[in-house]
Amino acid sequence: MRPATVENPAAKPHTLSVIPASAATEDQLTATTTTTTTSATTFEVTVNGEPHATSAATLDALVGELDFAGVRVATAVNGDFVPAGAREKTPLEPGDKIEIVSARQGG
Amino acid sequence: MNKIDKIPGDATDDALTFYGETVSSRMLLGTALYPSPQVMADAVKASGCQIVTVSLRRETARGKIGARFLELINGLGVHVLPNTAGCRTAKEAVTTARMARELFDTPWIKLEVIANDDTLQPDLFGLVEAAVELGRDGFQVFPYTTEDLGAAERLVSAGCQVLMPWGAPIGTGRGLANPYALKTMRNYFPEIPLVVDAGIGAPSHAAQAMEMGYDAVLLSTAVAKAADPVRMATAFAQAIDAGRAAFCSGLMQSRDMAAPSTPVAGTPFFDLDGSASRRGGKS
Repeated sequence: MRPATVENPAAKPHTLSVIPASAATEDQLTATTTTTTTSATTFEVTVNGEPHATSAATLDALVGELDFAGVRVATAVNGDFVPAGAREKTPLEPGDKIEIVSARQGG
Repeated sequence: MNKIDKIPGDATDDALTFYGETVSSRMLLGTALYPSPQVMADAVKASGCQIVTVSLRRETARGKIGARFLELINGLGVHVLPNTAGCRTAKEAVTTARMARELFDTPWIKLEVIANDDTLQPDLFGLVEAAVELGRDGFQVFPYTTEDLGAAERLVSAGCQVLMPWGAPIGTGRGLANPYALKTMRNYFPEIPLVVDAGIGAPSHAAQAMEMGYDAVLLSTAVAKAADPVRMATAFAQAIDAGRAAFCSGLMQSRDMAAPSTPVAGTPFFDLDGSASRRGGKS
């Protein structure tokens, strides 16, 4: 995993997510508050069965953070498929279980 | 009921169609377990198969493994049939199928819901549940199932236009463990494409399935793990062609007692001993 830097694309969506907080629901407000108060806004998720600390606010940001941007992968969060086009709108929460898969040999 | 009555006599018109896609080869080949990607590609080419099975797995090397494999497969110019191998529940299989559809850009899915590790046998309840959901979601499902006719009926009701009963458990190479049940299934579903999937170890097993009237055979380990996979792929292709041709030609019925194949009339010395009943047959 890469250390969070200014260039990290993952950091941007997170910053953005704080701005429209006034329009957010109570649940989202709580989540926003949690992420802003936690140290450097990192939280733990599980990626492909391994624990992973991230500051990615969305699945799309996480995929970028892991260097899969532009790579043909498919994703699921907590057992549900997330199409590539929906990753940007899929917020991540602490404890989320994320699968990132690609093509392989099969029988 | 006997499918032989429905077989077209013209061998040149003997194509096979899955969900509107017509193929001329009756072999479906796996892409895993080969000694190298190149040997796999060569075996696929040698087999002449037009459908290969593929899968998906957790990506670790920044997408390069998957990308390289996709490039290799796309270069083969064959249909890909992604599987849901390793899935234990309908939910896992459905999610895997959806990921596969996006990765491979195909509505086809070889649906596997596995019941246990020792037999890798289909969990028929989970299989039907997943087939129903995937059918509603526009998938074209190739279910890996058993010879159970009740489950098969439910799969067909769920929209499956092909059934893939096992020959024997995956990777065993034991051939057709229950020929009687497979024959029954063939007769029960004369119009639905049936593929024997799994358990095929030798070309003779594949030929046996084809002689029974199965439409195709799906195999993997028997070719991939052969000392010479490319030559074994050819051997299977020949066996499948031979079995299909034999089925289309109308196999003779077996019988318990011998019947001379050389005409009896005019046999020299036939009446020398004057006996009405001669012992022994003529060949």
